[in-house]
Amino acid sequence: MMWSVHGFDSHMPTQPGIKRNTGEFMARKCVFLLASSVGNDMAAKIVAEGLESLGLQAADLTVNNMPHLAGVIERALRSFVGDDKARRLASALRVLVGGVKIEIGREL
Amino acid sequence: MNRKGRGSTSLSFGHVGWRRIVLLFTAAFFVAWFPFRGTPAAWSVVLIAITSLSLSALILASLSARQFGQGEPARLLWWMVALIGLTDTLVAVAFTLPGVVGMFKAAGVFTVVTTAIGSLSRIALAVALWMMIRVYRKGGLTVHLEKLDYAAIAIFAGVAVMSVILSGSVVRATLYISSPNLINWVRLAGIPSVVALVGCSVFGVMAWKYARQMGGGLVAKASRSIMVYAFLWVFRLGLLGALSYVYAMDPLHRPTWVRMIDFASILGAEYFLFLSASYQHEACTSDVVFDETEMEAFAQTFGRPLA
Repeated sequence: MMWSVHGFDSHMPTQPGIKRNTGEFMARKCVFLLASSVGNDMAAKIVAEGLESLGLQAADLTVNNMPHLAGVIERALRSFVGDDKARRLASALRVLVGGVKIEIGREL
Repeated sequence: MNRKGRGSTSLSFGHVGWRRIVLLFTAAFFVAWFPFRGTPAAWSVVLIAITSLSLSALILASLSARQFGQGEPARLLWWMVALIGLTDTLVAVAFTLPGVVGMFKAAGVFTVVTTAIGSLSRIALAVALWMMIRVYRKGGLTVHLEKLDYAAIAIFAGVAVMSVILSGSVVRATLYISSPNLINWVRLAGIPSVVALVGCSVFGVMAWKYARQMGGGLVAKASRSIMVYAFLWVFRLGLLGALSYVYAMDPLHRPTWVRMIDFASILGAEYFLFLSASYQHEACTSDVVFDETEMEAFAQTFGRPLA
């Protein structure tokens, strides 16, 4: 694993090396969107394990991977927030994280 | 993007609003109890306050349990919390109704049955805490108990066992009953509580450590609230038992501060039970919305301007 659970803490200051259009930025957004429900550290763990199960590192995450990652995250979330909320959070990840990537692509 | 402006309403805002309103009502009940203490009206205040909170917890926990699929540990966890809400309601009715109607001697068998129901509540609490640990383990978390944790378990378990041993004194002090037979039956009915409360002490400390690893969030808040509920109940029973036993208080002339601690600890415990069910219900049902403050915090943290 390239990054640890603690490396995903959304309160940490901006790291100059991380650009907003990278996979790592998308992974951090995923954590941010899940944090209010399951907490920062648990969200980071769920996203990290999701990426690991897809054989990816955070930096490799792209819009194309997001539906698969969202599916894995949805299954992990069911234990904590129930089926319906897990489905809605996974949909939010597909739209908010995937959608932002397209928007950044336009900017670039 | 689903963004919510400042001042707009949403389900998540509603949850927070309800929690504040319930807290205000709980505080109001506590204040209202003072002028009536020692009268049947005070028992009515206690009855209404506790049953309102425990029934709210029952409803919210049932709704949360229904959100989880069959076989999920969290489903059983929230059904157990709903059962605790139900049993606490029954216990509150049984322990206060004789006071409300002024028939203390009629409490008799009703009190023994209620103590047995109270034992059921403690068993449900132990099962709920065990299910909570299973939820965390399923999420991939692990926990290592340290010396301080074992000390906490020993203290909680000690107070819990003492509370059951001294339950006869509590019955004397709270219900003004002094029949030896009845007190023995109350002790007998409370025996399952010993096992359950020792289980609660072990699982409670473990679940607390698991919840700390989540790094905040609604689910962790729900878990912690259940543990505060458990602690307050154990604290209340232990303290009342010890005070009644050591000082052999005349139940008819109990100091006001003892009554105040008694009522405050029950009220606090039931509020935390409600709070727990409320947090979990919000975690399961709230809309996926992010307000401007949250989005700005994210933008500032990662250097992306808010669109």
